[in-house]
Amino acid sequence: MHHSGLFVEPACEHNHCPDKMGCSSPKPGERTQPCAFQGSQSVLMPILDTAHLVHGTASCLQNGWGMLKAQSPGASLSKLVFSMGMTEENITLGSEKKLLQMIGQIIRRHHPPCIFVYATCSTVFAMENLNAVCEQAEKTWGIPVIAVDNPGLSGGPNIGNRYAGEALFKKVIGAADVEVQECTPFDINLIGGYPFAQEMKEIEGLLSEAGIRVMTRIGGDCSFDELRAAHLAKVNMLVGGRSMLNLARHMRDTFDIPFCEGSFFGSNEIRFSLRQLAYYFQNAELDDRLQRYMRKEEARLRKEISLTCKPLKGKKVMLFTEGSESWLYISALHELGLRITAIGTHSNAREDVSRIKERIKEDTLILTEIDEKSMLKLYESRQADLMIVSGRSAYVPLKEKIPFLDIDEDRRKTYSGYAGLRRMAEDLMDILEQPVWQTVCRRPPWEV
Amino acid sequence: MSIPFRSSDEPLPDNLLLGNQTIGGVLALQGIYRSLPLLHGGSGCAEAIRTVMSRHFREPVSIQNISIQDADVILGGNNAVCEALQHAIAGDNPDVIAIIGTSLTVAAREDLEEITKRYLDENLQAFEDKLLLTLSLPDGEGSMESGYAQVVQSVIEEILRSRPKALPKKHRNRINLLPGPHLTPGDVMELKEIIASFGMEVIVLPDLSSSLTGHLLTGHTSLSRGGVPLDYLKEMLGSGFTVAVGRCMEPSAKLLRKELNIPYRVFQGITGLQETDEFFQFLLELSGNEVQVKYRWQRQFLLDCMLDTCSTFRGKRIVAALEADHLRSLSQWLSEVGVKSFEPVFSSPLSAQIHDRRILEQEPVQAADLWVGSSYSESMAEEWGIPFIPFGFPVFNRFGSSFQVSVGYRGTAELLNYFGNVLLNGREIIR
Repeated sequence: MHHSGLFVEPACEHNHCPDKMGCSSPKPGERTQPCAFQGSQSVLMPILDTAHLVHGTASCLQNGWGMLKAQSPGASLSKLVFSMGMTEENITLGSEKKLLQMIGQIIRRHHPPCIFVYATCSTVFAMENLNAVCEQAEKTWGIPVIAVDNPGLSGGPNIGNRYAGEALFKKVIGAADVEVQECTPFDINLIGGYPFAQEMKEIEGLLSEAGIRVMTRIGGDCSFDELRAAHLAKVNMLVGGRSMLNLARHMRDTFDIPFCEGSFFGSNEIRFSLRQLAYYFQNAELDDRLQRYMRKEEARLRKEISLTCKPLKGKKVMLFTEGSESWLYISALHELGLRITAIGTHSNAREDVSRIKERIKEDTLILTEIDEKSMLKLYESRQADLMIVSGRSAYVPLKEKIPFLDIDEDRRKTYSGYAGLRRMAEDLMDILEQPVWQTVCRRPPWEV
Repeated sequence: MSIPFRSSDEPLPDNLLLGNQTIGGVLALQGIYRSLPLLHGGSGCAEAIRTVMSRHFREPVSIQNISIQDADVILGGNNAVCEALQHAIAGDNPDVIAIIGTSLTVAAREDLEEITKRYLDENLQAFEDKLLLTLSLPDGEGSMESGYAQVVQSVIEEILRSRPKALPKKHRNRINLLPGPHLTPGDVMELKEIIASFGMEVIVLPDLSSSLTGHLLTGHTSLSRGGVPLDYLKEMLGSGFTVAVGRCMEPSAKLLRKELNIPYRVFQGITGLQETDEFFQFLLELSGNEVQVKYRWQRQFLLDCMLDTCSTFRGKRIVAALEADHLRSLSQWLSEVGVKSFEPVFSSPLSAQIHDRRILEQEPVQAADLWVGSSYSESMAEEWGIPFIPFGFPVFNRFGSSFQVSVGYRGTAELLNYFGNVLLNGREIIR
């Protein structure tokens, strides 16, 4: 029952190896991870002016904006997530009528340009045909009503991201009645996952300084109209995750928009990413401008690092992060003079691992699928100074009183761009200097 | 087909105000040492609960999931359940495992009890000295409170069922404390201290005060890091008295009385002068010991606080989005200080999960001077321009939610100042 069309993504290298096809599904009793429905939501809810209706029980809302930490401030329609509040009766007897009613109410009351209707596990048990209901609603009210038909039990968050990308491609991007926006010669789209919503804003700022305009941020804060015009961009750039490769590929095949992947952590990555973009534009003037921009910023950065980042030189850091985060920060850390003594990862794509390998120096240990206990042992034996963690590893160093940076913190800072690297350097130095690591090790007066 | 919508006064539910029954169950289990809730649902169900709880308590949370998949729906989730159990035992080997059925279990008509019973029969040895619970806590019914209470009750049922034939020795000087989910770990700690100050022993089920408060237990474990240990828990059967805090805990206390003749008493929340007085009175009589000087002082402080703040509370309208027991406890306290009205923003616990926005647009919500509720309701209070106090569960972006104390004389005084400050300044300020 896997959505086989999505499961096999030709642009993803997992489909070229016989032993591990497609995205792996969570196994019973393993670490918890978000479900496919949550994956879709995290891509689509940042479309701020659209309405979101969850065809499920109330608690599926637990995964809404409340859970998305990097949410943007201010009120927007998408922050009101609507729920069917399905009861057992709805599941047994069907809820088609209730669903239509609710869509109608949302439209009358909030006048959204579009409604996303999410299937959940309850939809599967109710054996409801969301697509048919949404089609009917679309005919009745004349706005796009888009069924996002990937219930939680169809897999992990990556499948959900993909499905959202698919829905955007089929129903939103390149909608025929879009007026051609005012375009510039250097328009691109950023495509990223939800943890990158803030980073994308930072990246957009950097690009605009360099003379490249971001039309829209897919997976980051954006508006419905922006997305409908996304097909007018010249290049798509995937940042911070490959789960929406399918969308980039579709847009390449249909609208002739090439895509590339970029990272903006550290000046080497920035340089590489900007060069990739320049390659697609083939414009001498842009090339010049980018060169000048990078030279200026790099010179400034180098000077600052050599002046202020001495305390970081030679410090041993250990990375214990999730997904694409395990490779993103490597060259930035090297640039700041840190030594990466080991990288422990879980839920890594094959491509992530090969990217780690491309970036590390020979004394770095790579451990895929390592558990918390072994990671701690390694920290001790390798005499590291600091841990960088994300997601569910956050409490591992905390509980052991090990200096750490949690890149996933509640109010996440962005480390993208030149300014981001400075922030990262500052944070790392502050962490190492914090007296708390010594004071928490003081013996209590009653234990002499 | 004609357009099926009726007049415009259909409810249009959005967002959430409170947690649900499943979360309540998982929360209760955190208060039992080395326990593991195994959620029977899609992988996202457990992840959402883990995230929400970790953000509130700022602690790792013990939870795993039997991530059911498409195939399990068709073929039955038998194997998945057994696999998850095996995985749990081979891993950190918990003392208490609770298999929790969700709405999905109900919809799939899966008989979890039957599956676990069969597994238990085949693997009796692995479960020696362990507690295995099977519960159904669908989020479509009940509330966080009911889920929490059900776990406590089923733990008691289980220890009653497996009790030795010879009745345990009675300890007249020992109290069973059953704190409801509206008490923070800090509250539980305060009650433990008060009881101990009368020279009495206390067994707490569940004991969040030693598990979600942030002690540093070195060596990584995926199980709960504190709470009442299973062998001590069993000693409850020999206690002289049971104190239930919150009405939802009464059925468990009743059960102990029915089976073992342990008398019990229910308090709403031990918040406010009157109920704290009653609690001290009760402990005085039960123990025959004196009240410590410390608490005499604390009562004085409280009286002074009440007089200091009385003009700030006078005539104020307060609305709340909280669980039923929490509402009762606050309502009792706030009536002591003379607020004009205190009302919930929803009609029933279920409507808090899927609330009806129309209620929010009416009196008394619009005229309220203060909104008290979980972080889910913060944006709504903001939208209506009502000063907001994050309270109950979950509370995000605030340190120390689990240390907040609102029980006893000291806790009531602190609460009084906290609420009073927000009413005085029109916004939340540092306590």
